[in-house]
Amino acid sequence: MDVFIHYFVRIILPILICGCILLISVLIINRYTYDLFRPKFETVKNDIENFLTTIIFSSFDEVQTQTEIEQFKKVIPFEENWCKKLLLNEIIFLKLNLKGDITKKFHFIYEQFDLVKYTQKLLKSRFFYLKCLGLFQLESLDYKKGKDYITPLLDHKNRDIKSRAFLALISLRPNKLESLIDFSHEITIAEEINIMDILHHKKTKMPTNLKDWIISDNASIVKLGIKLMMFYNYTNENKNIVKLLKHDDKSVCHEAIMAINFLFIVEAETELIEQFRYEDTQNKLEIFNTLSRIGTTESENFIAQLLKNKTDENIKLEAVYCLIKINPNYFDNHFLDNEDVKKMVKHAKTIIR
Amino acid sequence: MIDNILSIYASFIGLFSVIYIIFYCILAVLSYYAIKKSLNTKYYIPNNVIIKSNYIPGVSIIAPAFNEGATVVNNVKSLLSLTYPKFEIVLVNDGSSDDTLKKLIKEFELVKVDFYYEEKIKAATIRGHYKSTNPLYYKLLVVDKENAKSKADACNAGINSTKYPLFICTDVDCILKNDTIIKLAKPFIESKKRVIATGAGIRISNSCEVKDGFLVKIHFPKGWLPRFQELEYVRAFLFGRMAWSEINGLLLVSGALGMFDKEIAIAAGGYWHKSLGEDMELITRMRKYMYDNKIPFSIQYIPESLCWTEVPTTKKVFIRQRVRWSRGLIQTLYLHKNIFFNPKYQKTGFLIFPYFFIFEFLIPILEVIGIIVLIISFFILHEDYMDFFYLSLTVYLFYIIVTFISILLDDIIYKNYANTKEIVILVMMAVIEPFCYHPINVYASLKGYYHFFRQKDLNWGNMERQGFKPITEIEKEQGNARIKLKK
Repeated sequence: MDVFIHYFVRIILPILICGCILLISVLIINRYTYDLFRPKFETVKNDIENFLTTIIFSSFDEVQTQTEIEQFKKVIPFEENWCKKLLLNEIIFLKLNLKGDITKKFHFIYEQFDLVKYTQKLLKSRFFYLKCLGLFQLESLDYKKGKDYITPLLDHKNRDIKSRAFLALISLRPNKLESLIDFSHEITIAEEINIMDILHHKKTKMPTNLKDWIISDNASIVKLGIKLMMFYNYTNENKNIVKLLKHDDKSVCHEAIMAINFLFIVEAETELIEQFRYEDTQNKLEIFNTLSRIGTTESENFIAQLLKNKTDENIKLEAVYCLIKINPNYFDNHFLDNEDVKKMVKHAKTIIR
Repeated sequence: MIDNILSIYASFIGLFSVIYIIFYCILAVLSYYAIKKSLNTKYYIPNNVIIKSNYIPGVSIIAPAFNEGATVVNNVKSLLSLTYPKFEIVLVNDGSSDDTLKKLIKEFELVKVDFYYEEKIKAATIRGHYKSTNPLYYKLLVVDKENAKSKADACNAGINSTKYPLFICTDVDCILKNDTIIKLAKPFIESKKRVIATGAGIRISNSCEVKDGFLVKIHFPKGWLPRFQELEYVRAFLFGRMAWSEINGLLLVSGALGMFDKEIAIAAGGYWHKSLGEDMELITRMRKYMYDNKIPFSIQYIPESLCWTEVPTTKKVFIRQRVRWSRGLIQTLYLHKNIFFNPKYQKTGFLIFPYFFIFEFLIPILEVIGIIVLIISFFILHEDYMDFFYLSLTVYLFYIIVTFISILLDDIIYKNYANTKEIVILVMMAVIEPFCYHPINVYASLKGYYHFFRQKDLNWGNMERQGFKPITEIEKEQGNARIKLKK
């Protein structure tokens, strides 16, 4: 024990004391330097904002802009990484928030400030998040010349980099979506949301092979294909969409049900009713949603039967909503002796969805 | 004989301390990694993309209110202003005896509606549901229920009344950051595993400037107790919870702010109205449900402060709160004792529960035993005081190092403090915390355990809120201070 205490006092305790002093010093110095740095940062930020606004909203003269940029580089601490990052963030901010022809100037500014090199440096970094940041910059600036830097990253072993590269490439060449069909990996919901956002923004041409997407072996591509069909109001493949109701992947079925609703495929009513009992709660609710739009007397009878049967309480209310939408007067003559259903009807008529 | 017992005790404490320190070092590394990972992936799916998307889940915000007449209108307005495309506010008036409901009806033009209420989780009697006749407030639903002396019961009534698949549970007086819903919902959208709950950092609003329920300016809390709690919150959220989140080991998502998968929460039975730590108890049951049904899941924490809440400013209220927390801890551990070392519950049984038992439940008891042993050693056995000094110094240094690392992480990442002065104050608070604040906590914990074993009646008590100073008052104070300085 004495030996232990001897070494303890001479080794562990000094380490802890030094660690403590070091941490206190780092804490205070770090904050103090930040407090000193902050006014400088704010000034540079203001300068950059003013400069970019002036350049973007004034008439474009290549030589003059070039000179002004060179002069401005001397005003701000341009060689510092934080300054480059700040400048690029400001350019991206303006690019994302402005529309029209003036946005073309951003690429010129980006190149004149030599920020392409900064992005390239990020793309070559060994840290995955810096690579992702570089890809984000190319995508946000819509810098089509940057496509070549992205392609090698499509096969990167890191899933995040691969995904970001994939999205950046779609964004930069939105009219070449055909190649997506060869994508063998699962596309996450986050990627789907990103892709749809890109398509909404870019108003791209419909991929020529879209009909092949919904018969792909990759369920992710099938789902994306259905989403694109909704996006382009593509009704030539309605029959195949209805067939997808029997797909093994429940999320594909969900997408198909939504498409039937969106594309108003009235001929799918019987299939939807038949498929109902095989579906999970989420898909059942989506079927109600769809039937409320395309449903006829067949749906009325089906839902009425559901309400009479011992059906899961969670979906009964949705069934009532659906039936009211199909036939607002249905409950005037039916279920008058069923107190539970009457309460649901009152609810559905009061709380409009 | 006594020497032998003391020797065995000393070896036990030595081993305990070493394991404790190793554990904390691992938590520090995990926490740093989790925060870094979270910050690095922020460009993956930008918030503006989520806001515009049609493919996101709807979220219901449940806010129970009991006698909140003074602030409820502004708080609801603040909640209604959150940014998210598909959400509703379910305010549960938990049998308030003041004018809470009256004020809500008047301000939001509410009328009683025929609401089909399904009691998926048991809750006290519902008096009625109210919706606004003004389309501006279509997102608001007010549930008026009888008081059952528990927030859990009010939350359950709220859950039963929600329409969306995800719900947030918060307190009506909590101030949420504008993008709170997006940030909490993101893991539900991004994760490949089924996410059953998410949480985020909570900060102290006591000295913040609040106008009409909106946070105008963040201020470092005034007063000893709120400042110590600030330290504790930073340490708990940035050091502990982020680390547990990284290994999917979270057993607690704070009651002030948490988002849950409604289907799983209902399947697990909702909040238990008799629990004094209903937030921890719900998560424990949700975890159990997922293991029982062999569904892979994750519970995630966001390393960002999204919620500001008022904390106790008086010792009496503070102790009452901590007594309830510690009683909630032991109650949950006891109630779910079958989790301990049960292979079915995997890391919850072999790591999380034992950790909570050993390093959360046992610590206050061991601390008191340690002090008693030391006193005996001093006065009866005349032990060498230098050994005692070295051991105490080590524990103390380790404790404050953990706190310093938390403050450093917080300051580097979020810059939540206004200036160097506030950092210096926090450092000083951290130095004295083990002597001034920690003993109160230990006392409250032991009192909680005592109450649990004696089966004393549950008593929530009222959180005496100070309320927020109007901005004009703050400006006036600042003006006076300036005048004094000039003089």
